Amino acid sequence: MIIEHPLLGPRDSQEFTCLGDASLLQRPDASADDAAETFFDYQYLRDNPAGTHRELWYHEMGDRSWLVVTRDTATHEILAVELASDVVTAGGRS
Amino acid sequence: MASLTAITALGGITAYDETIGGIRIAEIADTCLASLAMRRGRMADFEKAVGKVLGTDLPAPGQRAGTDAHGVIWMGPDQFLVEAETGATDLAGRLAASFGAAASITDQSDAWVRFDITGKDVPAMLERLSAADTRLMQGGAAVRTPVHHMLCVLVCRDAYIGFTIYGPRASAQSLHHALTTAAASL
Repeated sequence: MIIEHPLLGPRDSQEFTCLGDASLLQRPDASADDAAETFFDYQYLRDNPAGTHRELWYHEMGDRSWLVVTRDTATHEILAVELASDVVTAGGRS
Repeated sequence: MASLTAITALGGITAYDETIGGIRIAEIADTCLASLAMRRGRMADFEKAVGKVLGTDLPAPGQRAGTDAHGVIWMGPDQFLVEAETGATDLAGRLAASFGAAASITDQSDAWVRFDITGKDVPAMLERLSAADTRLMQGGAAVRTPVHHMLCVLVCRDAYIGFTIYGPRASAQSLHHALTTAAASL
């Protein structure tokens, strides 16, 4: 499997490790009234789609950047690769 | 004061240098290294200091920029490895004084082992150890990638015939074993 790194071009998947669902980037507000409930969801509950899925991948044996990889879990086709820092910035966080 | 003798990453008094077949593998023991990481929001100061202190523009991803005196290797987003050639001392100290709060700097001189590999077809050897497309690398290309399962920095000095490998110093013997085995297998 080849991952098209946004900065470095096509790189072999053995250079990467997968952390899991990209929803981990959306950490809930710890000061909200329903924090206990939202953190339970954030920590333990995951979708497990047969189809398009967004995952966090770490370029451990490379430039050490975090990526958001959009992947089809049924076909293993990689549909998009973005820098996680860009995804977070686009979502309004610094 | 005790009289101490410096040893190289491979443990020798003098740096290892051997030619196996058509490939020369030379340990370079006197390169000064420092990690240079831009602090958030300081791009303007940072770029200015790089130009002033190191005499170069910042390298693009996958590249090395610089002169013979100072090289700047792209290591990751906003992070660079600075190499200073023979005879330089206290590179990290000098950089810290020049960059101020625009960058975080750590001395890396004793963190890496450096091998310079020269010969008439170095990619034939490196393709046995790494997935990097060394045949396409031109002088100035630099890639951080596994070499024999160790995270190394491969720098192309001269397409096809001259490469530098920086590897983890703690794995210097393992990397040396991999390099000599690959060279002998050609």
